[in-house]
Amino acid sequence: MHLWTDGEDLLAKKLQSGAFEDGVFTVAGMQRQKRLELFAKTFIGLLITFLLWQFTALALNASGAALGFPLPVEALQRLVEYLFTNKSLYGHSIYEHILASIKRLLCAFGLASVFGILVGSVLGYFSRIYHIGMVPVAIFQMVPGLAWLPVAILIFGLGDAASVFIIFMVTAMVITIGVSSGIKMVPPVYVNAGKMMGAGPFTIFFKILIPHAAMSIVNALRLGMSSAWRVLISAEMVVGTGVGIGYSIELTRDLLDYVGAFACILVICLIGLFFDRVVLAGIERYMRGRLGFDE
Amino acid sequence: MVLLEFNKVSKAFFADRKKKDAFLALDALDIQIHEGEFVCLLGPSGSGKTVTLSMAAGFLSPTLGTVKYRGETIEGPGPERGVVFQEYSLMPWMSVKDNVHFALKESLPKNANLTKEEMKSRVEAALAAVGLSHAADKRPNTLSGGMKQRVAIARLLAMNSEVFLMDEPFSALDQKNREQLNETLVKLWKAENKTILFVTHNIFEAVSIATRIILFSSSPGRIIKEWNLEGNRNRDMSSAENQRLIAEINEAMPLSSAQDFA
Repeated sequence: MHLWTDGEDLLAKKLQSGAFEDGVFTVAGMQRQKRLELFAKTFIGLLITFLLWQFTALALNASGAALGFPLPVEALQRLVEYLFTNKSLYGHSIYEHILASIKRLLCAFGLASVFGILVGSVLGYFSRIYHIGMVPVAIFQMVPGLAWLPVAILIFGLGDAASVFIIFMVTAMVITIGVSSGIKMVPPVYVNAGKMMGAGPFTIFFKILIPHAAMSIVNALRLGMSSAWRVLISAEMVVGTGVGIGYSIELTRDLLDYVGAFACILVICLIGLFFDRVVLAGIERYMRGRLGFDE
Repeated sequence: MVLLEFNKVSKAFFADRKKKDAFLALDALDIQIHEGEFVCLLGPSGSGKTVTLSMAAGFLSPTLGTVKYRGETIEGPGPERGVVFQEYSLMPWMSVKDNVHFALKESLPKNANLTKEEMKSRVEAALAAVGLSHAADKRPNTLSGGMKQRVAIARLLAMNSEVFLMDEPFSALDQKNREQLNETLVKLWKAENKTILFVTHNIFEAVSIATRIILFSSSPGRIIKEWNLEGNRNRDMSSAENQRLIAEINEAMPLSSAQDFA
């Protein structure tokens, strides 16, 4: 009896879910159901984050441990002011700051992607130089972004180029490691099949290895992008670039403008999530479908 | 004429660079494969059958001795010695007919001038020969295992490979599927006059398809015994003759080497 009851409950649940259209299970219905569930879960996650922040702020303010810890509503309000009333954020509108940061990001990320894909492919393809080549890469990867500051200033002086260099050094290593391991992980049977057919080394590389490694490469780019974005903010704070989101946070510290600081943090999170969850995840989904890796 | 020749071929795998610790996979192998033969390399796991096939394919070179194709030492892989691998090797982002087309395109020498229509018709003919004309536009991830291996065979047909090197191609399939594919393979072999080198550890399979069965021992791989069979014989496994043959091979088949159980 117990088993039958379980079955009925599950069936009742399924019937009530949006996956049914006119009493029939449809693929479109299931996809819609999945999207709704994802939306609901994201919303609940955001709500919990919001409540944690609110709770922490109230607790710290009440206990006197931190005076004036911004509440989420205050930060949001300030952000809205920056975004929609053209309120100046230390001499520039917030859009100018965002644009400056993104320009730096794309410049460094672009260079790092080209470097990472080229060097990573070579290291992944030629197993003999892989171990030799990975030594400097592994060493450089150990260096935290800001530790490159003295080198950056020595070569480029204070300014944009220095911050781009710092971001590049971190991002390029991440992408190189991801791409090389992606290429190495392609099962040898595919390369052997290509050789058996009489394909030349360029064909094997571009038409067999790269498509098979494409998912790993996109993943490496995603990791690179999130590393780049995080290093960008700290690089701007330290290099003193004059305009940029990270630079703005540094200024809020000097002026004790904590609400402004949190507003900038919100912007940072939003932009970072946009690049990762919208742009790169979209590319990943497209590649997955195009390459036939999903069932 | 002799297409593939193994002359006193030994293959050793070295555990370290100093070549002190060696595993002898094959010991002084002597095989001659003539045009039109369907040779089965039979033996327990670890007896060096796949190593032998890899050397014929050109993926490995012998430590001692020579492997020759049409009298010339084999330098590397090539479309005249097509391979059907044990694992599935179709490109997942291409349809079935694009996979076969890709193989055909890569196999053509630089001076060959096949028009688009000629290539298309060769691809279609190859797919028809393995019974997959209806699946030409499907992606490999929607195919069953048997269908995937049939596409692999179609690739070799499109490339017009003279020799088919097949490494336990149907071992992952169920009995019925395997029997069907064996039947298809024998039909193709007869129709196109191919030379086939087929690795298997399944005695039934070997008896149902081969014109010559070479039995390997393991560690190191050596030939224990050979059987020559009629190409047009009765392939009904329940016949007295075949039953006797199966029993004889079973008797002679050694166990896997003790190393496997270590």
